[in-house]
Amino acid sequence: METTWYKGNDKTGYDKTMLDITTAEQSGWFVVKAAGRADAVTAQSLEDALQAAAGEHQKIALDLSGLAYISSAGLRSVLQGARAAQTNNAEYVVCSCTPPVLKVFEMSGMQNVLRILKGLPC
Amino acid sequence: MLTVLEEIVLLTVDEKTGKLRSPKNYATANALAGALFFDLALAKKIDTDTENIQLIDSTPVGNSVTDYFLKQISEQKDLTTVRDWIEEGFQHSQYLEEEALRSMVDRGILKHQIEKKLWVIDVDRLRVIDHHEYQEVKLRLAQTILSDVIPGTRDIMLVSLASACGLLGYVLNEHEIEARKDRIQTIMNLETISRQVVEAIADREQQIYTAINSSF
Repeated sequence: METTWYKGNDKTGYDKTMLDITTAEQSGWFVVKAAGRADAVTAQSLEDALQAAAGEHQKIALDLSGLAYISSAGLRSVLQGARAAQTNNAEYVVCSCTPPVLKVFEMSGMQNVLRILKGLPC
Repeated sequence: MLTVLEEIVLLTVDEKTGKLRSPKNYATANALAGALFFDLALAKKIDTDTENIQLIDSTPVGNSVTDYFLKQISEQKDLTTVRDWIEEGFQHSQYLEEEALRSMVDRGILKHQIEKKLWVIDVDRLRVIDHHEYQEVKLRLAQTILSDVIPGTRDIMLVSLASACGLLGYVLNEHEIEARKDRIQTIMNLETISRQVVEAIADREQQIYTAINSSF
């Protein structure tokens, strides 16, 4: 598995391992796994990773099985990742949401905009 | 680039009459408060969850309105929810509107004119000078609603607030709005701040309804 570490800005004083992003290719899908917290401090890293994936792959799965918390900034990054995928005619699914993250997605009606799966598509 | 607050205020300017149009004053006031907090979020100064606001960085951005509220958020520890701050912003909506207008006049987007009515009464008018900015905001609003493309962050903010305060009718006709009502609702629901703005407006309408009924 290819691993990339995105960490919070050192100047913020936040825990540096707030959001871990790892990527892997599985059965034709490019899986981006985000674990930790997706918030104002880390959201840009997530969006950058998703935009990069959308530019290079035709099937992208965002695995949120390790994501404990998502804020509005985090939601925006997930959505803008989907927008980048749509622009590039790539397939984009969000999968394996943890209960707190799924609750936020449902409150925001993200299921009306994104394909949300219970498990990985591959 | 205009701030979200400026975009909403610009949409309220009637190009023909030069007057500020506001279908419901209290709704626009709530939307202006929401726009302010969207601007703070875009500047990465605040973040929100489904209820609360978190201050991320209190360093001033150089905009008098946002910096004033940034200072307020850092000092008023008793206000923690998005709804609290929408109410706080509501109380300052006239200031928000005036500062946004002043900024757009300073940048040559609008021109403030005082005209005489019946030869004696001074009437304030705002003329749109930079039609490009004005048209661009209206075009983005229309395209975001009429297309099925996943909207950009700023477009979500613009549509959700313009819809909340009843400004869509100045850009789209009623058939277009009716045909796209599900899309509009979906966009409005995506952001905590706009959901809270809609709730604040609904609560205010309920208060008005109750007050009217109790007076009879």
